[in-house]
Amino acid sequence: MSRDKILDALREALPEPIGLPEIGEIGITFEDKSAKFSEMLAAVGGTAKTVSSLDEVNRVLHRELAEDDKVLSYCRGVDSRGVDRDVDRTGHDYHDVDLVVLEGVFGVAENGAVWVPGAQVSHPASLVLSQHLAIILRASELVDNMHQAYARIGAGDLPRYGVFISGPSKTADIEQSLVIGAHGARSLRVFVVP
Amino acid sequence: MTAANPQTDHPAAAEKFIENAERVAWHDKALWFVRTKRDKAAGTIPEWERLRDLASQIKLHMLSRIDEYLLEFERNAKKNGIQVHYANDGDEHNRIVHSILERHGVERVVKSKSMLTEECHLNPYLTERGIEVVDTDLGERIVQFRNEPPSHIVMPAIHLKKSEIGELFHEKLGTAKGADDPKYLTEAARAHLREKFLAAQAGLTGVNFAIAETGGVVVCTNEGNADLGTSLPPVHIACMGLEKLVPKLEHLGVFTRLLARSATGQPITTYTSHFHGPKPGGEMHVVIVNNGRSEILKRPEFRRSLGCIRCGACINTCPVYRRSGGHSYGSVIPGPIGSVLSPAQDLEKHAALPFASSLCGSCTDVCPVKIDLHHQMLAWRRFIVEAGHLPRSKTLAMKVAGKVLASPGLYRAAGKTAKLMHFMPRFMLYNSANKWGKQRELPLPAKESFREQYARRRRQGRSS
Repeated sequence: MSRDKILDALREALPEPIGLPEIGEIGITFEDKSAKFSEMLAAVGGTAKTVSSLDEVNRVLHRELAEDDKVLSYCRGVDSRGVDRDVDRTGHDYHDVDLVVLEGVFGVAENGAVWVPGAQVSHPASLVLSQHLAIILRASELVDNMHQAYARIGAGDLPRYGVFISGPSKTADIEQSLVIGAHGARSLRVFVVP
Repeated sequence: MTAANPQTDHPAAAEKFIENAERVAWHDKALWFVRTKRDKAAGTIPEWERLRDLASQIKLHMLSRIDEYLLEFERNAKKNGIQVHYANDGDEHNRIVHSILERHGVERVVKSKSMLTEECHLNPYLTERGIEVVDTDLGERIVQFRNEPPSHIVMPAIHLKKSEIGELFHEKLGTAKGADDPKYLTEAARAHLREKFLAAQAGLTGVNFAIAETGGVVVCTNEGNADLGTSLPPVHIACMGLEKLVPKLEHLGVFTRLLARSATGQPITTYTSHFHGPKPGGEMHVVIVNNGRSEILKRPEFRRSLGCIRCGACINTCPVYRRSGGHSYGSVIPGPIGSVLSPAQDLEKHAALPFASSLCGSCTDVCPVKIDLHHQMLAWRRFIVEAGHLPRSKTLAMKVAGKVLASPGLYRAAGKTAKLMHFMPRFMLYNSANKWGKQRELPLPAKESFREQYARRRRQGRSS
């Protein structure tokens, strides 16, 4: 069996044991995590907006969306439109959704990323099929860097699918020109709520 | 055998690329721009060098206990409901992937970027068996349409101008003739690939990191293609080289901070996706591939190359890569890291690659896992000479140089002869025999050698 063959070959090739380094206290920290998060999110093509309540999120979205835009909200307090979120759907059913609104678990100041476990949405496909994405994030739920981020997630109980999303989908594969909206969301905005 | 597996002649292949001086200058500049973005991103992190040290040590530690970590990964992945397969070579990898697809009656597959499946030549294997494989990374789709390999591991179509891609998309996707706006072309690809995503019956991905402690894998993309390709169809197959292991989840903190900053200067990839099990009602498979990696592990001078996280920083900074293009290497992975990994796979075929370097060491300086790339290229050169695979263009010159440098008399005579260059006409210096002088001016030898100066000064010293 190849499994044993490979393991045998590796054992035969093993170098002298080398110790595992302690990562220890490491990682850049910021006086104002929220400001850094907004700055980094803007740098990767997204936007962060501090709002006073979910009502304000509703008002902003209402103002900006077109009449027939389909909105799928996974956030209690933010309205869905033209989509019934409680209907059991397959991933393919999300192909015509214009905006998905969901709650992020926490944000990372050093890179503008938000941790989104699959359970935040009814189907992970909706995260990438939706034309636009809006994430609701509590102002208190920010960490400085990825070391803190993984410490917070913890190795104990990882979701089947979980993703750090940092900005909208993008590509620079044609002559290094940055184009926003490759396969996934064409825009990403984070509403920071108190 | 020789015909099927011809030796890559890097200088000859590069010659084709450098015919177009304007393109070379553009290619050089485009890559250097990415390198400077990397520098800027690295500069914002005060603990950058500490991160590189940690990354290097974590990988070296993992490699020194790789058998245990593989088993730990397997155990935990199985607990998560992931099916784990082992392939000793590329052919076995392809057979495993095909058998999974066959069992599910799959005819249409979407794939996100995976250098491993390129290494194993999975696409032609599946295509020959009636399965449509669509590369979904935009750059990879472009080179797939052109029926050519990627020229860069992070930016697969970096060798192409937008006008060429416009022409290609006009032919393949029906975009307007003459249109070359990247936004417009990307939009066309988005629509085309969305159809492919929605129709796919299985999704293939590579693996950036596999975590032994948690039995899951991490895939990094900017486009979101790995997430689309795995969330829609019921079957997800992730293919990885066995060196992609990291022991613990906390190690991702180190590697995710280094990867995108080193690759493109981004603070992190747009999507850093963690897969720890199949979707409800679906299947997830991980195929772990050796394909010569255990042989590299055996060799102390090349072992560190297994720490590579495929960021491409060494490629972007390499003065030879920037001016000769990825295709001139004739290997799946070009640039310094390719010149180190490829000879381990096929010494004879890739014998020219470790010589495609000025040994300036810039690659080693930027490597986020501190692989001693230029030292390894030098070490390969010795092996290649000893194995008798020295590229023909170098054999004669090296033999002559060896003789001359070994004999003080010959060396002195050669020095005297070289001084004649001051009086030689151009055609005698710059001709087909002088490869070095093709695009460069030869430095003129000093009018007086050190030996002569020394003798003269001693004479003068005595007389004064």
